[in-house]
Amino acid sequence: MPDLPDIPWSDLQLPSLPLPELPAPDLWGSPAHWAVLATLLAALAGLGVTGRSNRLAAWVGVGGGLVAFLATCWQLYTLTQIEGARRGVGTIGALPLGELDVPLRLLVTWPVAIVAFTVAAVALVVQGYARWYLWYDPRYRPFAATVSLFTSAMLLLVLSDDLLLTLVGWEVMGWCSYLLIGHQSTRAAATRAASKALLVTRTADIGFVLGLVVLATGAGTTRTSEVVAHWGAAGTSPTLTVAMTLLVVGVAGKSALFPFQDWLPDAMEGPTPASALIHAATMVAAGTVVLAQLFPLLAVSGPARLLLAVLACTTMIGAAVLAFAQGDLKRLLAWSTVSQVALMLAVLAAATMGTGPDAALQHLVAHAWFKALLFLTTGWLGVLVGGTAMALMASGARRYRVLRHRFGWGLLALAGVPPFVGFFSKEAVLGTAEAGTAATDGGLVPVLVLASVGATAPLTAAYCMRAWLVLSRPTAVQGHARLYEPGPVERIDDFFDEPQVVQEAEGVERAEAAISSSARMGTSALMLMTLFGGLLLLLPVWGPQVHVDLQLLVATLLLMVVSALLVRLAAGGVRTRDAAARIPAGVSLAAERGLHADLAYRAVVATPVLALARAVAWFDDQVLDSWVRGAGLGARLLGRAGDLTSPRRATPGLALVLGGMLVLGVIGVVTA
Amino acid sequence: MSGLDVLLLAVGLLTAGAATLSVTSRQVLHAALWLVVTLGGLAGCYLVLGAELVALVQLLVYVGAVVVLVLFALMLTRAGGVPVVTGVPQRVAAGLVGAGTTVVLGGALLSAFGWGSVAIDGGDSTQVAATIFGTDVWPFELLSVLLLMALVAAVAVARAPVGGQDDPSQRPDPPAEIEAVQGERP
Amino acid sequence: MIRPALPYLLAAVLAGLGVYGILARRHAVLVLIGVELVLGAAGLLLVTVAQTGAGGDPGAAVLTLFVITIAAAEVVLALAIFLALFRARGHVDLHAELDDRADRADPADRVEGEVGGRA
Repeated sequence: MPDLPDIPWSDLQLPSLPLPELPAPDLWGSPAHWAVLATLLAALAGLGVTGRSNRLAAWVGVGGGLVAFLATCWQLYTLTQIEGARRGVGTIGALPLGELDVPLRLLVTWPVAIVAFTVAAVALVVQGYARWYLWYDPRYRPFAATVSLFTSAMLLLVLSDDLLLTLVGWEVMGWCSYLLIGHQSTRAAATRAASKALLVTRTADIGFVLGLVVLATGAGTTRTSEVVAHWGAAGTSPTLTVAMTLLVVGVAGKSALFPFQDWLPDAMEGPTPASALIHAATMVAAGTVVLAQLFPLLAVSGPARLLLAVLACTTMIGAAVLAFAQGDLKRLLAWSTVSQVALMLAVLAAATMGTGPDAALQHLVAHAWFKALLFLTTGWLGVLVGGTAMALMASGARRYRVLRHRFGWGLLALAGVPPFVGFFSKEAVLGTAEAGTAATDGGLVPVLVLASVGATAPLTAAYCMRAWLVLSRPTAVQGHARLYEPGPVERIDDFFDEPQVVQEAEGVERAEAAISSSARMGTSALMLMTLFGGLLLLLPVWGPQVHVDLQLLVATLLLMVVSALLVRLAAGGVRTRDAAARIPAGVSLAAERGLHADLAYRAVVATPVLALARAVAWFDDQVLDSWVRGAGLGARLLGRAGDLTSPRRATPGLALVLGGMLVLGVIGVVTA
Repeated sequence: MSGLDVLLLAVGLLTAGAATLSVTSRQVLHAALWLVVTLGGLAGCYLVLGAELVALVQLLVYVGAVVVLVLFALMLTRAGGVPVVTGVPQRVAAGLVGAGTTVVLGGALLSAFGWGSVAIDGGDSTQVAATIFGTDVWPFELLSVLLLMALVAAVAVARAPVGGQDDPSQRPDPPAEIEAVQGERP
Repeated sequence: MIRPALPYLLAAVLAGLGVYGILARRHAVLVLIGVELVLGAAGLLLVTVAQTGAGGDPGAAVLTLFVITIAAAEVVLALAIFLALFRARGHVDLHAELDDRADRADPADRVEGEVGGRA
């Protein structure tokens, strides 16, 4: 391979453009306030004010999302006008908590502002899409309100400069995810998935909360920047390591890292807009944001980084492999989410103070665009063909031309093909990992991460290729046409041999692809961002820069091409063009069930916990209660004895009493 | 032995004898009447001791009011006549306890105050009145409230329905053999 | 001059007799007579102290008056209770069984049980 030079990222970045002086209206609060409050109020209004009107609920939900989106856009502009591009604002004032300082402030910096912009944009698109997708759903109103609340919580978490606010956003998202996943609460699978998500993430949240408590009490404040400054100044200490390890455990739960990974694919039971919101930009990515905010502390906690790296790398590769074998497009996307989120977290583990955490946030932003696009498009196709199983989805991108570019661009971005947005973020990730390797002189963590990212790239390309082959399979009509009449198109159908009928049938299919203009516009916007979002990643506002190793880049791309070709080869001869059909049925079934992680959970967690609970119940019932029962029995026996021995007539009893008094009197007189 | 001593001894013996009879008499009515004598004797003791006011109150309240009440109660509960004394073993025990009380109390008092003579120097009625209406006026008023409450409570209790409902059929008639016991002579 | 020992002894005798009366009698009113004797003994003790050992302090005499008053109230209540007892049971025998199981059962059974028990 020729010796290719490294390109500094800053060479790729766009030049700083002088922005025009916009008239700044003197509004109350800051854009951060507006973004959080608008969605929060939309959630409250959506539940309280809209009555029974879905139309009004949609206006409220979309309106709140729109205000938040505009606020985050405005926030981007205001940052350019501020020296140092750092803006901290208060919220409701400090909480009086004695020794602990709780200022409850928000902080906006460039990466945070861009993430907030992404979140608000995806949430807005999802709100508009949900109005179409859940048009006939009787519970659309609570859904819209929950989405608003969810968005508000995520924005709060992203913008917060206070561990308490972070925790609030984190927990609210957890509960909202329960509501969103279990939206179709009459279906047992949905409620089960919702409960599973809640239980698994909340179990991990124990670590998160404990970690935050240790950090806050150690620093005497909950303000994130001061916590970082305090612990950063104190240097490495066992306390800090324990706190960050606990935090990593919590993040692993929310971000579905191994061994908590199994809740996320099950969460596909939720409606597609909810999946797009939860799995593209918000909840599963929240851990990335929190760890990025606390990055200086993570960087000095070796064991926590190692734990994070091992978990993330295991998940990254394992989830990519599992994604390939899924028989359902939505579950494929879910596993790919698991893989991609693990990628973000892995780069946090590999990054050094020199590179900073920005690569993770860049990948978060990129992932939000293309994954939201893929989810929403899948949901769209699912409505058209009546399900998201691969067999149903086959030929989808051919039958419905409008979906073709959406699927194609989304999958290309997911695979990381230039010039789509995924390519740039993946290069940033690779560059960061490589810089980490160089900085630590081949340390274990960066090497592990680099190798895993390198291995994941072809795997991602493989499952993207597989999905695309299935989706773009020639329809039966086209297949027959090619078979029987290799000439210019004169389509013949088995049932309708008149060409006009065939044309009409195609027309019907196109008509069926109808979607509300707002939802269609939203996916189009996501599609554009998937293509041009790379420009956002090349803005000259991202933090300490990395080098793009061209050699590595070319090698990765080659690997991806090779794996894609292999998939194409494997797909040949399969009726649905599904390369995964080559996998033995048993393996494929196991993969669809997440390698029986459920059984593992049950064996490792549920059964021991239940056994422990039974033991405790037994102990309580047989041992502790026996004392109580014994006391009761003893009291009853004593009472019976007293009943039998006490005089049943008044005067003998009186004689005893007076005799006793006499004895007391004698004692008093004698001893006086 | 001064004259007062002799007087006190005489009244005291009368009182003690009447008291003995009132606790040993098998006739209910007789016992009540012997109580009258005992209480009157006590009033005499008070007189001898020079406490005229207390003696008069004793006569008024006890002999005049309390005993009349007791007699009324006896008549109202006539039908409830029962053997008035308990069995021999209990009476022996009662005697022992009573004798013990006497011995302990008397011994304690005698050993405390001795056998010597002292002058009578109690406060006169003016002082008593000053104390009642001065220092102790609040307890005095409280006592009046207590008496009123006792009156009201007595009416309430005596009129209270039996078994929660005032049904005449709920009031058991005295069994026949109890009637026979009534009026039993020793 | 007077020997306070004499009234003290009388008080002790009255108290003893009162206790005997309380314990040896079955009829509730007679038990009450015993109580009155004990109270009388207490009054005598108070008066004796007031007249011979209190140095002219009228407090003891006032206390005696209070005791007499309280005794009157107590007697009133006691007699009312006896009346209620009589109406409930048909007798005021304190040596009878305290209310046993049969008493708490159906009122009709109760009366029969009592009659049977006594027969």
